[in-house]
Order: sequence, then C-alpha cells, then structure tokens
Amino acid sequence: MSALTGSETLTVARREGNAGRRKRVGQILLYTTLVVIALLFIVPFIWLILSSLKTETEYNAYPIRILPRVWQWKNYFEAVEQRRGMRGVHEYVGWALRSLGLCALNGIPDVLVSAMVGFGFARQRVRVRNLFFTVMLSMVMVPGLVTTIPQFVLFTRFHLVGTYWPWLLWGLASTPYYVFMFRQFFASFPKELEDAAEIDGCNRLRLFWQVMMPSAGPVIATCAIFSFQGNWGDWFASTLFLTGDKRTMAMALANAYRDPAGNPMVVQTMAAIVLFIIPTVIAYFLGERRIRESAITSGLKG
Amino acid sequence: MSRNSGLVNAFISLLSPGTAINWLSSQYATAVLILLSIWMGIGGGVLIFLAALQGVPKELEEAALIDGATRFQMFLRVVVPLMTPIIFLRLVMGIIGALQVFTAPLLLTPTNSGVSIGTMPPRANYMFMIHAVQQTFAKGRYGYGAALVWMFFVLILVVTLIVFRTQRYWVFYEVEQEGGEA
Repeated sequence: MSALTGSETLTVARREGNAGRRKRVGQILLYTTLVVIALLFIVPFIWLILSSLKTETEYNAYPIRILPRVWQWKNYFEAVEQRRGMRGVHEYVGWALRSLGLCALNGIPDVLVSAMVGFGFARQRVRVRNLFFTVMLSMVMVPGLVTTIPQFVLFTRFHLVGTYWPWLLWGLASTPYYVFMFRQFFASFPKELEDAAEIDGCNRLRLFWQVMMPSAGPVIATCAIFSFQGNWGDWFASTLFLTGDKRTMAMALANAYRDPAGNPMVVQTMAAIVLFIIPTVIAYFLGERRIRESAITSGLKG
Repeated sequence: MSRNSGLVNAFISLLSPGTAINWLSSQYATAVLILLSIWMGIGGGVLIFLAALQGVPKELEEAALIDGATRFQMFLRVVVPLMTPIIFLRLVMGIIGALQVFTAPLLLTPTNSGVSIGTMPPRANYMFMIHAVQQTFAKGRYGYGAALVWMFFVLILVVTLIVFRTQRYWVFYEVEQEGGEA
C-alpha cells in the first residue's frame, strides 16, 4: 500500500469499500431468505410444542391463542404416566423400547445389505445387472396397495404374524431406495482406487469392505437416519403385524390417548408427539455430524 | 373445518381483516398439496445432497478456485456435475413417489367427521391412487382396483425407463453404466 500514491490508495480503498458493501447486501439478502425458509419449516413444530402446553379449551379456542395462559407442563406428565385407565410409566417405556428394538432389528441389516447390493449394481460387471436393477426398482413402482395383502398372507402362512421376524426379513431383503443411493454413490467413486486395489491383489469382498465402505460414511449415515425415522414413525406395518402387548410407540400414539368415554385426549397426545419426535431429532443430529465429519478426499494426489 | 382457524389465515386477518383464504377449496387445493409435498420431501433431499456433497473431492474445488473460477462457477461446473448421480436418484424417486401420492390429498380434504378412506378430495386433488383405493375398498370393486393399480405400475415403469434413458445426456458416472439402459 505504501508504494501507491494518495489517489491510487483512495481508488483501491473505494473499490474495496464497494465490494465490501455489495458483499454485505448479498449476505443480508441471503440470510433473510434463509431465515424465512427456516421459519416455514420450524413454525409447525413450534405450534406443536405450544399446543402441547395448552389446556384443551385453549387448544380449541377460536380465535386462536398463540401462547397458553398457564404453561401446562402436566400434559407431559400425563402423557407418560397418568393416562387414565392405563398402566403407567412402564407401559410407556415398553412402547419406546419395542420401537427402538424394531429400529435396530430392521435398520442394521437393512443398511448393510443395501450397501452390498448397491455396490454390486454399481461395480460388479454382470450381464443382466441393469435388468435386475429395473426389477428391484419395480418394487417401489408397484403401489403398496397391491403388495400389502399378499405380503400379509405370506407372513400368515409362515406363522410370522405377531412376531418381530418380518422386520428382520425386510432388513435382510434390503430397501430399493437405499440400494439406489449406494449404487449412485459407489458408481461415482474414483475408478483409480478400485484399479489400485485390484493391482494390489485385493478381492471384491475386501474391495467392498476395506476400500468402499470406509468412504461411504455419509451414505451409511443418511440411510441410517432414514431407516430410523421410517421404523420409529411407522404405524402401518406394526399395526398390521403386531397386537396387544407388542404395541409400538407409533401405534400407541394413534389410539392410546383416550379418556374413559373414548374421546381423544388432544393435548396429552400433543405432548406425547413432542416426546415422540425427540429420538428422531437426536438420531438426525448424530447422523448429520457423522455426515459432515466424513468429508473425503479422493485419495489421489496428482 | 373453519377457514379462520389456521395460522396463515390468522396472520392474513391480522394484516387485512376479512380476506382469509379458503386454502382447501378446489381453487387452491393443488397448490397447497404441492407446497405440502415439497415441505415434506425437502428435508430428506437436503440430507441426501449433504451426504453427496461430502463425496466431492476438495482438491477439485480448490483446483477450480485456483484456476480463477468464482465460487458460483465452481459450484456449477465442478460440484453439480459430480452430484448428477444423486440428482438423478432424487429425480427418479421423486417422480415415482409423486405419482403415487395418496395420503396428503386426503389429509388436505376439509371434512366434518375426520378423514377416512372414503373421503372425497376436491376434484383438483383426486389423484390416481385415491381413485384406485376408493374403488377397491370403499366400493368393494377389488378386481377393478387391482387392475387400475397394475395399469398404473406399467405407466410408472414407462415414465421411469424414459427418465433412465436421459441419463446418458446429463448424468456423470465414474464407471460406465452401459449407456444408462435400465
């Protein structure tokens, strides 16, 4: 700077000032947009939380009340323990544990098997590979409407209705969406690494386990989050295959919160829903951190 | 369902009383359905793209920046091409999912007695799967319903195969996927 004359310094300073201002305006616009979009997503959740803290009269009030007059923390207490005609806290914990158990029983084999199948579709040179891929994707294209009943009949014949076996079998059968995701990820994996491993005498299984999988952290985490959310939030499959004492959290939410007259207990249900989404939020943040931390380099220095 | 009991209308009424909009009427139903679907789907999409972004080698980004590309050019010419397999995944799954939309239009139907399988959405939101399910279960026409669904499957398959064909023009794979034939 010292080498510049006075007017030159001024020009440089003005130019930088303009650039800085333009940058700041851009930043303000960017953040305003982001905040508006973020609000769009978070408002329903705030609304849910506020609803869970109202009395039933306030919940139904018209015109709407945004804040409760007195924060009804007891709704949460009632959601967990004091449900009328219910068996208290251990029943609630039972629902939660069963839901978590199903998440693990289905999710762990599902993600592993999907990764293997996806690897096969992306990297194994097999003649009918693409035909098989289309067949697999067809499983998603056939609406669940026509596959649900045959599936139920099938599991009935195997005497697996009312057991947790379907979740393990679904997991071992992999999920087309995850397979597709792994396929796309593995298909864009640097070919040089595969060649290098091959030259070093690495077989396909080791290539999968020791070269591909360690880099697939982000996809594994994504699938794990989806799988957890899917299983934890699933009402349909558990309603179809489980009853009574095997009830999961999602099933309980749908119909356990009723007063003796059979009317739904809305605010307690709201409180139960807030509690219900906490594990999903935790799973999301654990997975998301895993995704961010595993930024990879191509491993090719050139 | 009162048109005034919603949050958006509460704000509209606050700013300009008497102009509350009947969002669930036929006029707006599809727009609301689209908004709802985007709102529901965007989270998963962002997560997948976040994961895919981690797979973009940092060296390539740095190389582009060193060669004088602006951050936007770098994004457009380096990051997006490397993300095309995942964009393709979202496109295919999004099309399949959107064609099969069923629950959302029912939930967006104003009723006095709660939503059931026989709930009739406004004409604009009367989607294929709603017709199929209602014919099957509400009207008891099982054979006709199953035929509808299988026809629909063929339609989805054709659309998907067409989308797969377009891969060769815009999706970049590290290993050859045989010309994008599915």
